[in-house]
Amino acid sequence: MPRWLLGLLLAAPLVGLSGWLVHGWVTRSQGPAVATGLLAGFPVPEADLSADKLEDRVDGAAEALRTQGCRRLLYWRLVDPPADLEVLVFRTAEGAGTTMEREAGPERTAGPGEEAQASDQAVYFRRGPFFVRLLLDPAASVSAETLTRKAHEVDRGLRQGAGR
Amino acid sequence: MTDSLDRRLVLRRLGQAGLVLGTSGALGAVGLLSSGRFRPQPKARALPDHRVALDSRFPPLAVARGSDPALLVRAAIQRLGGIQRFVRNGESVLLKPNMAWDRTPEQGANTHPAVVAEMIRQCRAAGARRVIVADNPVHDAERTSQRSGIRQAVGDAGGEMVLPDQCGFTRAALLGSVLDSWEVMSVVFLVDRVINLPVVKNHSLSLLTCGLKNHMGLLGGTRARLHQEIHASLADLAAAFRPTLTVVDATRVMLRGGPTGGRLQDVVVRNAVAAGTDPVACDAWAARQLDLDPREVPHLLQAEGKGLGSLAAGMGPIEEFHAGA
Repeated sequence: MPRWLLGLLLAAPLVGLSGWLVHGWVTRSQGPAVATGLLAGFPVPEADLSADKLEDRVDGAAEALRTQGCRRLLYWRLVDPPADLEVLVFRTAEGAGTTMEREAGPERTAGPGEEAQASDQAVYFRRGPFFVRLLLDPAASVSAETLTRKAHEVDRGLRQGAGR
Repeated sequence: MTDSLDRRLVLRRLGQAGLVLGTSGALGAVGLLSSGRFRPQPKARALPDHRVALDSRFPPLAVARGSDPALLVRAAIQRLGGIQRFVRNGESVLLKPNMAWDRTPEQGANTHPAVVAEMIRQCRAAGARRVIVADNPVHDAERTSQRSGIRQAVGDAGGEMVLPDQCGFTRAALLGSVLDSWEVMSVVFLVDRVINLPVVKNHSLSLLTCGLKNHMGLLGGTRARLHQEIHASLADLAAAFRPTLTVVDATRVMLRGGPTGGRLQDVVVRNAVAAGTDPVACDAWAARQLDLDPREVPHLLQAEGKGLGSLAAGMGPIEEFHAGA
């Protein structure tokens, strides 16, 4: 057997392993580094969940979100105003739109993004493939304008961050 | 230097390579075995049956309406024969609310703390030695227990809060059609009675979450796996967990966006509490609070098919009474 052939045979597993590692590095797009810059002007999210980890935040709703192409969910606990902020990233704007329709119903109001539904306590809006839920703490004494202003800030963050 | 190798040299090289691979494999195996991952699983324990005997003098389901949650709990249980029928002097009781979500009481994602508090007081009044409130939340356990208002309510009413890191899990035999065994909060095995305290909510996957779904909160492990066959899994859990009593919190009902929710506009105030010894009837009544036909909720049908209760008992005309001023 030629020596070069033997070398090739023995090196084959190493080449395969290297290829696997390179592939992982190239397709690392769901890593937290990208998420950090998703929303410009906001800190690192408290939770950054890939599609297979959605249950950690939404449990039973996870399957429905995945069906619509949700590939990640980011969560921030805001202090001013006291609120929960979730940004759901879908593969397509249609997926985000369908989810917003299912969760918020058909009514739309003025607000941020390409479509929005805002009330005194909650603002839901969609910007491209991003569906945003901003939920004010029910006991918080904050005006609706303050909440809407924060929602616009989130929208600006999406446009200026990695989410644009 | 030659261009080819003889057979002996090839065999020697392969032998050397095999030695290296074999040694590393053996070292890896030693590491894995010493880590305990391959230790034999302990034998799964059967879950205790916490039910009390049926009593034909009382209905399987009682519904109270009014604005004071504590009064509703008292009145509904009274209609079933009183708390002494379910809890006796010196017994230990586990209350299982829905305390899965980092939400406030107004958002209706968890059992209302006033319902939990009154249930503790009822058990205490019956002479319960210990009243333990336990759940394995989806969100951060400590934060959830506080923001839900349940930790405060438990402390004020004289109960004990037990979170998973305090009691651990025990492998339980479920022996269902899709669930054979699962990790269950160990506290379930330590108590004499279990009172299920679910809240009524929409659920995007199972349509309804109430008593049968609430059992999932006692499980550990990768609970998301249950979602692959959610209805069959819930029917299996209903067959394995046999609570003493189910007290359904419908003071606030989440009509949309469940189970997590968060928007007040998805929650309606229904001002009702139902108590029952038939868990299927309780959930059938709960489905109606969501304007669902219980017969269109597969896990309810499957639970009834397993002989765990009656849909009709929760669907037919139910005498509802007003409690309070």
